[in-house]
Amino acid sequence: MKPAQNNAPYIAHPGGSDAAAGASSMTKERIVKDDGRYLIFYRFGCRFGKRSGDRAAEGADKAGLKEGRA
Amino acid sequence: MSELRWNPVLGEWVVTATHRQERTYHPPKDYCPLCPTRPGAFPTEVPAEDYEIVVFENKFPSFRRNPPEPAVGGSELYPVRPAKGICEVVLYSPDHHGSLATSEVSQIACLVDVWADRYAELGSLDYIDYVLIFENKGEAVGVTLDHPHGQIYAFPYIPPKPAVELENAARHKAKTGRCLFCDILDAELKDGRRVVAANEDFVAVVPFFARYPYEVHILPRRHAASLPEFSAAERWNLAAILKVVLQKYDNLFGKPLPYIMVMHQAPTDGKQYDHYHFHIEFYPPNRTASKLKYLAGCESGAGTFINDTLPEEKAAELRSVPPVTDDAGGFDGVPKEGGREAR
Repeated sequence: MKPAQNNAPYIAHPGGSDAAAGASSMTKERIVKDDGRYLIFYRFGCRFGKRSGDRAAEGADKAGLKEGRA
Repeated sequence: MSELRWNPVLGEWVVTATHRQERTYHPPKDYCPLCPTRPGAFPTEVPAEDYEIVVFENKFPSFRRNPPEPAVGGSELYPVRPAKGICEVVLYSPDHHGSLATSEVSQIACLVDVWADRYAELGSLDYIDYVLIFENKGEAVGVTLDHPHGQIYAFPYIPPKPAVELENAARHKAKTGRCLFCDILDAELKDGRRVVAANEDFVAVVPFFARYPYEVHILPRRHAASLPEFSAAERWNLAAILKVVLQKYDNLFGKPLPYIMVMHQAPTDGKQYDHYHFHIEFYPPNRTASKLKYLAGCESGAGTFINDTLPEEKAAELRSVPPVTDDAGGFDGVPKEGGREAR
């Protein structure tokens, strides 16, 4: 079956303890350029690298992964 | 001119796209067409002073929504058809000097959401049978624009490599009743020598059958065929393991490692592909810090790859490269207590 198309806004990724910082919602704005090509702005309600959840993200980098063998 | 020409010898389509010869080639840094449009500066592809993630139709596409009629007539021997499809560019960040490896996990998680959305939107079109999400990174693999970006090709057919994977996965399922990729993941985890990194939801390995010295595949532990099937927490963990693999790549030789990254997902032709298993494949061309692997006579002429290295040794090398993570991540699949939303 064909995948169902998603209509924004949707999705919140809690990532680590990011939920405490407020889940981000994705929205998209579609425009048509002068030459007829479309362009979509995806926005997440935050500026990358600036929200408080990023410290949790860094923690997830370190704690969420283990290298090596079984 | 662009069209699909059928190769009856190999049984596959070739895309001719002569207009791509004119595409932008290593512009000066101040004239990057993928940066935001700054006040008073030249207009770039993005008519905004800032952005988070942007997707737009490629200016020099191999496939188009409204393709021209083929420039040559087809025949029974040589079928020809319009190159109908969509080619998109995905801008990861407004920062010209960034990369996926240097992005925050939160930023990569947003990108995973965008990839999932593009798969769903493009795959829902009646003329799109396969959505290929990929990134070419570095001059060594032919990148002509340095700005961090990836691409999406929405095909009007299932391309040859995924088609072979689907055939073999179906054959394995019919023979054993199990998913081929789940069996591969089990084998890699039991052996362990080729595992590079892992978290609750994803495992990165140099596969037993690696074609390139530093080839890495990322597989989800849970059987799922495409990105939209993953929960929010799984998407986060995909972003986390992507960052670790890419940081290891960049730390391997102390410089950004060129690579090709490709996502293999279920086709979108309306048929059932429950036997398929999402995964990401990385093909870095380097076999040492200064030597590249070339697709020479045996690879190009026979389709058989010669790997000059042992996957077990290369995986150990990648494991030892920072970030070398601690033992708290539940490598054995046991979820870490707290910190993540229950699924």
